[in-house]
Amino acid sequence: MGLDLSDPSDATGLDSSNPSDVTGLDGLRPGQYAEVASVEAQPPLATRLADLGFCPGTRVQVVRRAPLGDPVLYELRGCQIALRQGEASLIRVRNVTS
Amino acid sequence: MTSATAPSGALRLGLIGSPNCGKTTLFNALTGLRARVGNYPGVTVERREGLVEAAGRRIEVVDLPGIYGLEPVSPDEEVVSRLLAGEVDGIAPPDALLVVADACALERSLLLVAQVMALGRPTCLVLTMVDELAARGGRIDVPRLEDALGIPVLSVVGHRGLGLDAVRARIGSPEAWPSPAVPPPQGAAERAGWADSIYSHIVEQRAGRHRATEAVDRVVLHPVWGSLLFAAVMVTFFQAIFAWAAPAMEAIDGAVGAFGETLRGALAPGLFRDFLVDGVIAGVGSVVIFLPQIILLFALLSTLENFGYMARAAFLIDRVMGRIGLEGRSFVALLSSYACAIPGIMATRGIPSPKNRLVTILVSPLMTCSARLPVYTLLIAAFVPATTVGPLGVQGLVLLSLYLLGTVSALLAAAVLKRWVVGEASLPFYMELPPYRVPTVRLVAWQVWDRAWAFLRRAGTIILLVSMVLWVLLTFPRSEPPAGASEGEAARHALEHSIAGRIGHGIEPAIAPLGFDWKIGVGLVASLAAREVIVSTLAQIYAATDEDASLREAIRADVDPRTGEPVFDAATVASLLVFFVFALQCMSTLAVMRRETASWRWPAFAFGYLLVLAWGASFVTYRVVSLVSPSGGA
Repeated sequence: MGLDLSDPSDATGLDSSNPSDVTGLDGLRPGQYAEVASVEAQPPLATRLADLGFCPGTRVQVVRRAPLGDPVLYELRGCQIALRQGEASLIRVRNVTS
Repeated sequence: MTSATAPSGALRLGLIGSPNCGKTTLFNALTGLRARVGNYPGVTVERREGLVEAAGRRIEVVDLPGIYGLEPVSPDEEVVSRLLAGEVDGIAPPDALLVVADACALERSLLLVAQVMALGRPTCLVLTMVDELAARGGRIDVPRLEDALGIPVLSVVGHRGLGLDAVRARIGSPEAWPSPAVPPPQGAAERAGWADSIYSHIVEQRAGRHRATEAVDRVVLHPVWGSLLFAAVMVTFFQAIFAWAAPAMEAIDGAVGAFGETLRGALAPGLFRDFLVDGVIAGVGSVVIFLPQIILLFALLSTLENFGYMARAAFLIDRVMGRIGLEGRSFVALLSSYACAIPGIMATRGIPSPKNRLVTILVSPLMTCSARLPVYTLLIAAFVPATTVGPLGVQGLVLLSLYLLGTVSALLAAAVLKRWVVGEASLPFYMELPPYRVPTVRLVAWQVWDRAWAFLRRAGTIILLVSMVLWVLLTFPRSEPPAGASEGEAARHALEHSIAGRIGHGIEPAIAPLGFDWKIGVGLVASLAAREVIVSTLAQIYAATDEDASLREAIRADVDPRTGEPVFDAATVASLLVFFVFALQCMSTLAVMRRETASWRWPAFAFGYLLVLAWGASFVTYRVVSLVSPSGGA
């Protein structure tokens, strides 16, 4: 789908940042990969995110945004999961690559 | 702890797995009892069991609802965890468990496998869709997986029946299944670490992306093409439930009517004949008339759902539904409610959050169901001039605005209920988008049959029952018509003095402010069977010879004996239309709501708030239209 230039989250310049920096999963662009560092949610959300595979060390790719901007589709552990930005921001990720 | 239902000697085997893992297909293949299979997360909610004879043993196979984890988050998972703990009354917990996992999603499924293994019951892993894994270039070492897990691992292709013999051979003797020396670690992080180490140990070649899914999604989820496709699907949807279903519905209507009249002619006059024709046959007729629409609706939804489109539609529209506190999956349920609230309410089972599900159920009666259409059609045809404004017909515009009024009210009601009545969802939005899969015709046909049957069972019985009660209310007590009355006048006289007629008179003070007289009151009581019954009841009251032209003429000509004003003036007609937009006069919807919410509290609440809304909106409409057109008559 190419670059989404209107996306304000692009301004964070994730590509040029230090790979060990931790950021929210919601800040990633479609096509980018990252590794889950931690999940800062309470049960039952924490339970559900863990069951869906959002666990520390898991590699996640942003597949695409819904046309209205939210939710966003992620691929991890062989599955595609849609989350809204609010929940995605609780998933902290590191080692962001394009 | 109860194990009452297991006959002696029968082994109970539970099938457990995440939504879309192919569990239900495996269940159908094993038991020969075809059960529901869906591509839409969370469709397997009903309890399904089947019998298998394997290795000389009777095995009861239990198809458990699709779950992501054993720590319950959604109501489905609650059911599974209670069943496994033996806390469901009258249902014995399974003695052994088959964990079913999509081979392409094994990396995630191992998280569930770990949780199930920790239960300490004999456990076997069945990998499904191994053909799809191979097609995507993936390869896993099954013997190595068996070693690493310490439990048996089997591979199947459920819809082609491959690998089933091995499953049948194995499930006869769970006592002989190996069990792990050390159970997998618990705790989310430890479990993930365990799953990762096993997966990297057994994977020979990671599967590539599902190419077709990627390509189709590029169009289906595209801002422009995806939205156009979405609109096209909606247009097809409405075209199907209205235009395509119409000929079949008319044919059924005609056939039931003709059958009733044949029976009337063949039987001796009397109460039994009238009950049979006007109570039972008419009641059956008002049920089967919905079938063409329901079947088309289910066929369309089932196809789209199994293909994987409904999850995409929910993904596309989620942002909009999120604004009113609901989610994408609520949209799918509300869409079904345009045909009938009952399939709509049944479809809310796909929504994991109990609060979102409840709100969707509570507002679904506001979506304009097809039972309202005959009422709208009658009143619009009788009182709205068949003129045009520019290229658009006024009658059509009025109909469209009634649909819009219902839809907008449903969305507003959802926002209000979510905020002030039901409260914020404790469970956030998450949804899995399964890969596209072409469903077999057999699967869709079976699913349509299964759901249509459920509709007949749940709604049909209520509609029939209410129709019969209604016949009694409209018939008794019997009174002698005045001498020399025509047949039509006699029928009307009998009706006015019946229990229903008295109820109509009795509620007149309450509905007079809306511009309704006792005759409309009787119609409103009768419409509790199904909304469109008001049309046939009015026809009876007005002693009309048919439900089209002559009823139109009769209600147009009706004059209040005290004032000399027409009964149906513009204000009354508008008020009645608005009343039908809001009021929940449908016993079967109430019964299904009770079933789905497990108490009378919410159906009572829905009936109440919609009645208050209907009364208020009709009152305002009546006043406003009276002011605007004081002379009455449209």
